[in-house]
Amino acid sequence: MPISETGQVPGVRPDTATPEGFEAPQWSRIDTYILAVLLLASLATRFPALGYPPSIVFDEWFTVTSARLYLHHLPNKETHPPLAGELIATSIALFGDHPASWRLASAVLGTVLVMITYLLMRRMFLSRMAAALASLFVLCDGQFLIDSRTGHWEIFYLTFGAWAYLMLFRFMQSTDPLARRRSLAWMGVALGLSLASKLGIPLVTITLVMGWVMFAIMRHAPAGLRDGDFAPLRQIAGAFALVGGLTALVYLALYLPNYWFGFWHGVSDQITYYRGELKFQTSLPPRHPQNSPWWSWPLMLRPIRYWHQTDFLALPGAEVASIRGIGNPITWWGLVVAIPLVTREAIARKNMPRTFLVVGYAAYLAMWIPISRYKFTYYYMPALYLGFMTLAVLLAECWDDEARSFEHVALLAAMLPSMILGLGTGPGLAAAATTAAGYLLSLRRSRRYAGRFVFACYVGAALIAFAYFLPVSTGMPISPAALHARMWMHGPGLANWAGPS
Amino acid sequence: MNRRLFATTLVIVSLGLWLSVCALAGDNLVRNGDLTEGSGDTPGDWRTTSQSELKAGSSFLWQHQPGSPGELRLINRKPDITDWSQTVELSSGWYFLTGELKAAGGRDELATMGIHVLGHAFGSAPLETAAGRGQWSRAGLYIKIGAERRNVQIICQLQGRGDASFRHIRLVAAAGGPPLGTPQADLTTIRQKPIEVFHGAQPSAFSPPQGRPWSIVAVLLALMGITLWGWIALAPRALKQSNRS
Repeated sequence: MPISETGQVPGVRPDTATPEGFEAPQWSRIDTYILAVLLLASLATRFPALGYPPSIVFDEWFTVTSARLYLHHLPNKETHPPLAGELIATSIALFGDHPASWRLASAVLGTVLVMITYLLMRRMFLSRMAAALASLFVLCDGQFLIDSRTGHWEIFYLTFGAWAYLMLFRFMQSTDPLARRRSLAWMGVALGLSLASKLGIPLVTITLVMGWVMFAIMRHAPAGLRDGDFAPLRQIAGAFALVGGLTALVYLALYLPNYWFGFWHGVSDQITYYRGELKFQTSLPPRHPQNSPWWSWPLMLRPIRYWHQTDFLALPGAEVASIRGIGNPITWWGLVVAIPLVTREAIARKNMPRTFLVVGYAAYLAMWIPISRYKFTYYYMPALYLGFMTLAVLLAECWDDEARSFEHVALLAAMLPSMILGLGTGPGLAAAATTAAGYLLSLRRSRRYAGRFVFACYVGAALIAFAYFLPVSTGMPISPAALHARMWMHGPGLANWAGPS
Repeated sequence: MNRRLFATTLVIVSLGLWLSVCALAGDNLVRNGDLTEGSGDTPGDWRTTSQSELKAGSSFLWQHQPGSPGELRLINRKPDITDWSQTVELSSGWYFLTGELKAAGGRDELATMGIHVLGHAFGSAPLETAAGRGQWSRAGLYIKIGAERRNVQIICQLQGRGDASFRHIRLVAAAGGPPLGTPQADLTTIRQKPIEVFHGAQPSAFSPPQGRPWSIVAVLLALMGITLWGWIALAPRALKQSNRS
């Protein structure tokens, strides 16, 4: 089938039955306003007092060490790829070696991630509400906030990965071959940057994105051409060559300082380094004071203690400052319910974007099952990012009266642990009873009201929880009693938010 | 004979008196505790920390006159927690930390001396009541170290907004425990943290390079070629031709 005069790819057609994911959204002034508000909120949460704490926080020891050694042209056999260290080194070279410089790149990328989330969700679901909600959940999550305000690797690969997702949906929604090709090229750049930011995890991003590229090309091939025809295969091969080639080029280019400074002479030196890293990684023990198994991450049983400073506890008015990787319990535990519900929808409706979210979520968790070394809760972040989107989709459905009553009830039930752990058993159960009564009253009026009641409960509770945990996300000094009150789990086993003593 | 006896008695009494004075005074284990040494605006062996990013609103001052003891001063113009500190290593036994401090500021300020050990903090208690606000007062804290040697951080701290000064900071070995009811920091009850070994954290060299420089050039060129082929393969004209074939 020839390409049409208008430049349409053969077989590409708007899918009016299920436009989600395949139809580009119409941008309006409202989107610009929403994006502007999100930008301001991101700047307000990511940038103020970026130099605090005025000392190394947790694994900044690795990234800042790498950056300093790059600046002195000295070798650092670092486990993770070099991009985070290189960006921090650039920041240090421009603004000086102080804590705010170490974290500037993270704050910029953390802000960009909120913006990308809105654009991505608008493309995936055409819904402003779902897009704004997903961005809000990223914005108001303690774990994402910490990684946007400290020099750790996570926000780097997550933001570049989200950019790759955005390019994927831009590719799928475009009917112009040139635009599709450009999307693939940017996708390659984004995946290369993501791969150069963190060891291992971005390989799942690449697999997920390239799997969907292949699916999109096959789906758009006309029925008669799907079997044994050359065109889709050529497109798939071309797409893999373009994206894969650019990904590898960007990745290798970011290692060029190691060649320039003479640490490596040829590719075999880089391969030797990988062999050493593989040996090192496989030799790591399963035990660590902050270790948590992969299945515990969605339940947020053991958040990481990033930084802790105690002051004179014996004296009245003394305060403690602490940074704990405690996410927003409302959204973390909400998506434990949202994932199965959206999976059910994805299967029942054969819905592509929903399938993308749940497959991605499962893949990012499943990659850790065979890995025996110690693990940390923040490894959950790429799955969590997609999980926030599923929760946003489900809540947007509640708002639009598209969710069923059992979905309302399941979502409200997921708030119960937060109520009991946050308020105490008695007040928590009272709050739960009040919420249930409010829901039943709304339901008596109409299911639409009931859906909006669930929506309002979630958004309100997520905002309150964010504000409540803000001191432990930023290290604001608070009283020991206030810190203790925020440690909702302090058992002797895995479920312990207080962390190792 | 009497003269010899008198001389011997005098020597013994003098020695006893000297030993008593030494025992009472003790060696000050705080380096530069009288704050006489330093360079520029910085006293030797002491460092500063600020709890919050409000350092611009805080001043760390070393006030001193040549030949006389100096003072450490903290001024918080905005609410903050600021410290002058130094770390000392102590072996088993009892110790007594003393110093003089004075504070002048709002009601929300709190000036104190004390120690930090492994995330635990202990503040000193007043040894005498200050003559009035803004007057010097003495404070002290008994410290007990167990069998293991400990690194103990001596802290002079100001919490909140205000102005605090510290001087004559001394840490001496004590003959025994404190009198009943005196505040004490019993560090024998504080467990040493397990040392978390993060392999690979130390800057370290790669294996000696043995590769051939042309190999990286070849790989980059090959990747450029693959990328270019992909770009060309997805060109509208190429897709059109493949559809016709």
